[in-house]
Amino acid sequence: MSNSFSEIPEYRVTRWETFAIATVAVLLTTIGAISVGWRFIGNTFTPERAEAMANHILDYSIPGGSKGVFSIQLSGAKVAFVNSKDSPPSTQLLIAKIPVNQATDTEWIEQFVTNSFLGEAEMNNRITTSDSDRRFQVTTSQTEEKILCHVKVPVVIQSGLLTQTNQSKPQMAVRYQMQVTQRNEEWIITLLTSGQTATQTADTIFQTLQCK
Amino acid sequence: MHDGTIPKENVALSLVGLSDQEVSARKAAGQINQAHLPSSRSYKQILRENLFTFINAVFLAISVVFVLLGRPSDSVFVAAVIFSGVLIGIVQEIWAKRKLDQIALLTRPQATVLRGGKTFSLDLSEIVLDDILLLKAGDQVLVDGEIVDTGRIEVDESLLTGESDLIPKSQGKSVYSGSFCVSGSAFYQAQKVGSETVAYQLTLGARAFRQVYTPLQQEINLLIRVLLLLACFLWILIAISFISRSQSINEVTQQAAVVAGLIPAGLLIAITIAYGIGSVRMLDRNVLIQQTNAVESLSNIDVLCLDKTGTLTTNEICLQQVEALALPETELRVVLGNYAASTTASNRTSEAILLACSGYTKSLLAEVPFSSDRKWSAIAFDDDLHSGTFVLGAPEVLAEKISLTTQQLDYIQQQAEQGLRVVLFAHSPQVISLEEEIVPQLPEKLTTWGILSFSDQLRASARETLQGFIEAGVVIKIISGDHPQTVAALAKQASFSDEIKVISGKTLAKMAPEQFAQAAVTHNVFGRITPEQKAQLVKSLRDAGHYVAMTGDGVNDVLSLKQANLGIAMESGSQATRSAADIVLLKDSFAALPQAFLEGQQIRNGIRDVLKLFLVRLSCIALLIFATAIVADSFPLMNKHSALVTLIGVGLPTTFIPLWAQPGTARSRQSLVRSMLHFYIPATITITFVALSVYLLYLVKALVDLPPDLELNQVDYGLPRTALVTILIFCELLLIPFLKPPKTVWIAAEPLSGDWRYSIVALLSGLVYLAILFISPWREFFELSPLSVLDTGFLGLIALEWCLIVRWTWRTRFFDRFLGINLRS
Repeated sequence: MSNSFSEIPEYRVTRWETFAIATVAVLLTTIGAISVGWRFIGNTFTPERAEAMANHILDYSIPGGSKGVFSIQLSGAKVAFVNSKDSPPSTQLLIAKIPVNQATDTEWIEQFVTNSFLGEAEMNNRITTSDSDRRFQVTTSQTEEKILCHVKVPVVIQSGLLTQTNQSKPQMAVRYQMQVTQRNEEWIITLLTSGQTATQTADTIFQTLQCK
Repeated sequence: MHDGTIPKENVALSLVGLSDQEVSARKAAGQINQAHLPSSRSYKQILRENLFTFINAVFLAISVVFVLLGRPSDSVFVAAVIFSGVLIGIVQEIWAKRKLDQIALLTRPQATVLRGGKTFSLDLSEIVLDDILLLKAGDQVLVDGEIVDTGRIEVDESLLTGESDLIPKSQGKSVYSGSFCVSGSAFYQAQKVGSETVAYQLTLGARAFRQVYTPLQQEINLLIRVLLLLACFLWILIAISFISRSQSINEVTQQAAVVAGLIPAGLLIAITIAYGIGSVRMLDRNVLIQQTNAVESLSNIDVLCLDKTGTLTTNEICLQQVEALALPETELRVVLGNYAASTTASNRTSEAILLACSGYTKSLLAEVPFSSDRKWSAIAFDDDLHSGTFVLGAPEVLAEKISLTTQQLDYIQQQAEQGLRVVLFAHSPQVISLEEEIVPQLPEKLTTWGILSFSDQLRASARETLQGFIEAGVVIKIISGDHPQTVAALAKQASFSDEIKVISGKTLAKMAPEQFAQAAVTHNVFGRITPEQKAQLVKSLRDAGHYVAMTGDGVNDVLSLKQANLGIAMESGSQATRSAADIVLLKDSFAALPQAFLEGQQIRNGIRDVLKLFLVRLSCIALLIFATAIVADSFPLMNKHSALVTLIGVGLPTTFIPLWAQPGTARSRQSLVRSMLHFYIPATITITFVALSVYLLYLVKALVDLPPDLELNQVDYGLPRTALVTILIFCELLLIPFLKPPKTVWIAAEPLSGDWRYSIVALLSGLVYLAILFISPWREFFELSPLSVLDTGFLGLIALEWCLIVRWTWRTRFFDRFLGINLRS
């Protein structure tokens, strides 16, 4: 039996066939992307995972205990968000650990951690996209030198009124914003406490913060 | 064995040979011819050549490192993969060696030894120093010695000296083991036996294993060397990476092992198995393979040179007609009978004369035995009734001394055109003089006494056999020592060509080398060709780029057989011819040759198919190594993964491909390269792309699932690698139906095969892989991660989509057009 080229019949490939192949390829790619995206979203908003991430980044202690809200791990950067267990949460802690001197674009993570979320409402375990600064009306702002992770760092302490979506009355609130760099890694921490004892609680929690 | 016959000349010389006591004394003194004659490679050589190779050393080193790292299963796996190949190679070669030894034993020359006045047929190991041995035409000189009787012989010492001229030898002259007696007979005394003789070199040169690579083997060797270079390059990169990135030794060893897997050891195993199977199959068809690659080599031939006497004809001739010229036919027949009965060097012609004309053995004054080079023989009777010299020879040779009438010339021409071999019987009143060392010359004053016409019987299967080769595109050429017209007539009888272009040795001898080379290509019937012209013709054809096979049976064919790409000998041929040949046709089964040709094509096509699959796998792995390093800064596979991909994806199916391969027409080298590129490039690029996409998808999944307490560089590659192994195996197995399409739906790169067995093997291999993937201990042994049914199904769908994509690229000739490959030219 000969197997020369002349024995391979010419097959015409129709446009429909090409279109069908391309469609299936796009479909499979979409399925793959969706499955990864779905898993990413699932993992991001898994409370246990968020708390484990937060504990992995930093030692902290929130009075009455804490529960995770979300966590992300991207380009070597780890971001975790935890709340106190009361409802609405009186304490919110956003932590990020970013590798320094690495060829990864971590600027946006810094922006995200310093400017976002705090003061937003938690609804059905999901964060709304509203701008926190509108809800947290800062009345005083000062920078104090404090010891964080055995290093003296400038801590921005802001006081004001926090309006939570499910509360009609604004509450007194205190926000700590700080950054520390150790062992080629940068910790960015934002702590928000609200209620009558907001200042005390913020100070108590700050004392428990320890880089890992 | 006792023969009891003592040639008459030795009776005259009173040669008696050694006595039993003398033989015993020499045996006791160790003066015996017991040096082992190597008929093939030694066991030590086989082991050394299979074991001590660079690649084996690399695999062994990797294996040892795995043991030191406490990963014995990896170590065993590396060792098993490579050494199973080595083992198969050794077993195959030992099998071939034993076969060669067996053949050597079957064709081992028996010595005719004169002892105590009687001749004995003994094994050559029983020859002792000073033994008297008989040498006849076609015999091999077994020990070094000196001619001790009045017999005259002509010896072919070409295997010792390279000089193709026949050397006349007479009393007092030395003969050397390694040469062959071409004509005449004589006794010689053994002066050197055992290891002191040159028999070792003879056997090595004429019979022993000689490594001649076929074009396919050369291509594969080139590929292996290129891959070895690539592997060396990657090993250097791994070493640099080890130093600069402080990787663990385990990681580096795994990577080195995967890179080592780029060298296609399995391909060599597949080839070895294919050759082994071919040899066994051919043995059943009365074809003895003396060179392991001979069957595959046969499939490459485009010119087949046949020696008329041995191959086309039955080797039996009969005297058809006697045309008496100088005396009545009855008287002529008496003289002819006496001539044939008295010659000491009988041949087929003299035997045919003796059968037709009875005669008496008479004592001789002188004799010139027949040689194919000289083409005449002569006898001078020691008898007053038949005084002078009688010469029997080819008309064109005797024509130098005889003037033939136009009528006689027409008669000769007419007989030759009928396919008859014409010989002149002439007489000279002169008694031929035979001075030592001088090539015998025809006597003067020759008168033609008669014209003898002999007929050759065409073999029953000759016509069909030749037709089979012609249909396969093989050009047939007949190169014979007979008259050109006789050969041409036989060629017509065998209907081997529409256009018969005849040329004689004499015409060729007058040609310049360039004209000679041209004539070798343009003519297809060559008559009256001397042994060295035969060899020269074969060489010219090879120089013209042809792949030449030469068949032969006589000693005069040895040179041309060794000159050809493939030498084929008849079993009934001389010992020397069988020794020099790559293939021996047992029972002179010329009809088996087309079957061997088809078997060779089958082997070649099988190996090419295997080569395609191996090439795709190797290229995919190599590209993935580079691609994942660039895209994901990682190494795609572990040692066991790579072995699994090879074993399931290629190894298992390629075990069966050579078994079921079909014979097919040979393609030109250019066409072969285009065919390989047409299949290989789309398959490689698409598989690599799909596999890389799958790997990245599952790597992202692994990153998304990375436990919070782990860093990015601690990501578990288990799942991405498992997905990669799975998609690679799926795609490689799905490639098999494209290689051997069972239905038209799979036709894209190769023509319809209609054979479902390949696809079934692919399916079964896929099931074996799924079993490994889902049976926990097996999966753990191969260091695969659990893959859910959903994921496996998803990968299956991707593999099916890949099938559609690759079929689309083949059918639209997308890559062919891009690369400018014109498949139809």
